[in-house]
Amino acid sequence: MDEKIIIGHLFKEQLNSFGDAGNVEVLKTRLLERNIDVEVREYAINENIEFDELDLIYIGGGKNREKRLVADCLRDWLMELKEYIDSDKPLLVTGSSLSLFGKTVLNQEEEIPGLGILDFVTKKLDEEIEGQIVMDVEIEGQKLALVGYQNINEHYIHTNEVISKMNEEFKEGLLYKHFIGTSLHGPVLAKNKELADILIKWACDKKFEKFENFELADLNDSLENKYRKLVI
Amino acid sequence: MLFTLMLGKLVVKLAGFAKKDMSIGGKIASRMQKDILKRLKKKITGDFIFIVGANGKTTTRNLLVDIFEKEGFNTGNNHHSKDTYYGVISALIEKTKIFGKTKVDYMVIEIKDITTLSLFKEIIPEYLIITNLIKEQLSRTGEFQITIDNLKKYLQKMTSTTMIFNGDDPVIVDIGMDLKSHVIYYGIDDHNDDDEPEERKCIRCNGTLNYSYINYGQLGKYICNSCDLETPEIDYLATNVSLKDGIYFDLWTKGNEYPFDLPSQGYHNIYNILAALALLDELDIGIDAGELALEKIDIEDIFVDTFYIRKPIFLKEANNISSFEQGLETIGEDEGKIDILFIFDDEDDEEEITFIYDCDWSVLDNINIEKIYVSGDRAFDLGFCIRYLTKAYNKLIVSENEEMTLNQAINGTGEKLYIVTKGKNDKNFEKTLVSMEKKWSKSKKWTRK
Repeated sequence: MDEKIIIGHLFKEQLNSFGDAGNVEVLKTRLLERNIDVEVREYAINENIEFDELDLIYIGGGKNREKRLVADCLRDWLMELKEYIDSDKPLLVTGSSLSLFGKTVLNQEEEIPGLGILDFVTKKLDEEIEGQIVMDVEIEGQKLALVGYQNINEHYIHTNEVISKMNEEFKEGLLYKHFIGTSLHGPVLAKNKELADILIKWACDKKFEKFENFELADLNDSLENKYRKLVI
Repeated sequence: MLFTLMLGKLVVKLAGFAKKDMSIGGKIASRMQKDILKRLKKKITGDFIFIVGANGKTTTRNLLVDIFEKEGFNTGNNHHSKDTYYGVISALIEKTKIFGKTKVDYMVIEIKDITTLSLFKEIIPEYLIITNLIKEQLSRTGEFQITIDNLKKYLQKMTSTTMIFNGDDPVIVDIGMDLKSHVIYYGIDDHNDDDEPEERKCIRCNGTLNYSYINYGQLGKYICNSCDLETPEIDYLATNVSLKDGIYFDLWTKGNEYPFDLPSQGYHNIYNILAALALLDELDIGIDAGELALEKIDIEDIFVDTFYIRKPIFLKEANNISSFEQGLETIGEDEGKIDILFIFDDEDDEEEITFIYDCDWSVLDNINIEKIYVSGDRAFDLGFCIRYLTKAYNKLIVSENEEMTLNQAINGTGEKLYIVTKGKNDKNFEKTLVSMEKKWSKSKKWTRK
């Protein structure tokens, strides 16, 4: 394949609390092992982001101060970001950064305006939810079990598709077109090759439209298969 | 105060005998006497030297204590107690005489957690060393900027303290620029033709910090394009650094050159040595005395324990990103055929373990690895790192059974075995190796008969 997939890793310096950058390494390795050329572009705050050149975007989780800095920066890119998402290109957001994309963050003390790119409101929870979790998920008809670690004190109120409906009160994550936001944090994709491959497939389908029935080759996933047998 | 001190000393001693945490003595004393630190400082004559930073503190403290003792100074330190707030109190109680003043020449105190600097409210040291403030590491114990702002706040009040700072760290220099106290910088000039310039965000103004080279972490030679933050004039500068068969460098200070050739390892140790030498010179003990002492001192090696069971085995505990990276770096310098075993068993600490994804694993790409074994509760986390961050996936062996994996690794085809551990079983693991080594050596004697 003569073209390459360009992954945009946004604000790695600010949003990399728990090894989040590992997700980009997973995407990169899984592309290279399939002989698909890949370029990773890291963007810092206030750098020019070439949204139209990117095929896959990743945004990790961070602490509140860092998220505020990122939100201030992304306000200058609202139109481009919205266009990117609406054009069906994949974007993965992990950890608490999902709240950045909604309209408002409600907590007991104040209302913090979000970027308003997606139609949802973030509500603070009284108690933190923390721990290892396995969720049954369906993404575009594909059923998979997501394994990961949660440590959040907020939930998202919306009518979009969710990653998983934990209970009546609590819905996990948000799916909109090829935007995936999950509260699982850290190197989520390392333990979830299926999710990584969904993002890769979306990116490749869009980039290599000329190849009909583009299929991803199987990889040696014996490590992950062994792990999932133990935890699921 | 008298009763508090007597009780504190008793508890510290009992805890010491029972091999328990001696900081309990400090805790009890602090509850009984709120301003205990202030009072202890008054009772102890001599200079207080505090060491803070993300890493290198323990080695720097141990170096200083060894040198002071070799030079015949009466020295106190918090080696036996913990390096937390109460640990520092315990260390001072342990050294203080119940009646009258306690005469020491130097009291060398390492402060473990940079987020608990509250002891500076009560005690102002004569000298303060900051080894480095590596962002990736400090971010794990709290919001980085808040931690730095707190540190600045305390340091700005310490106008009579001589500050000995790592000038290669822009985060430290940013703090130093606003201080009224006497600030001395040490650093390494490690410029070479392969240097790759790099840009980072400036901690002082959010502008662009241009590095002409980076030694590791954020340490290097830098200049900001929008504010006045840049590598300062270095008072104690190491040049011509070489790590071949030990540590070699030339130290330049005050127009004089001092060549050092030391039987140790690890780039980071040069910074620790420089911090110690800068302090010795400021105390008028002199660089020469430091040099003589250093040649006889076994600087803490990266792989602290070595064993011999069929082959040389090197063991290291790696409890944070820096020590883990130092371990990887040392393994990466080995030119022989090796096996590596990682055993991590922090069952409950999912977030803490993620630092392994921020490490530079590429140092393992060009060495001769036979097998990489991973084991313990976190075997798979390590396995995924090797899967995605190295070229050694085909050499990976994963097992949660630590004992079995250890035996496999010892019987592996490598000429040497490097073991890196983290977690609750560190000490047990060391004991297991000691006992295996004894058994092996006995069996060899029996075979020879």
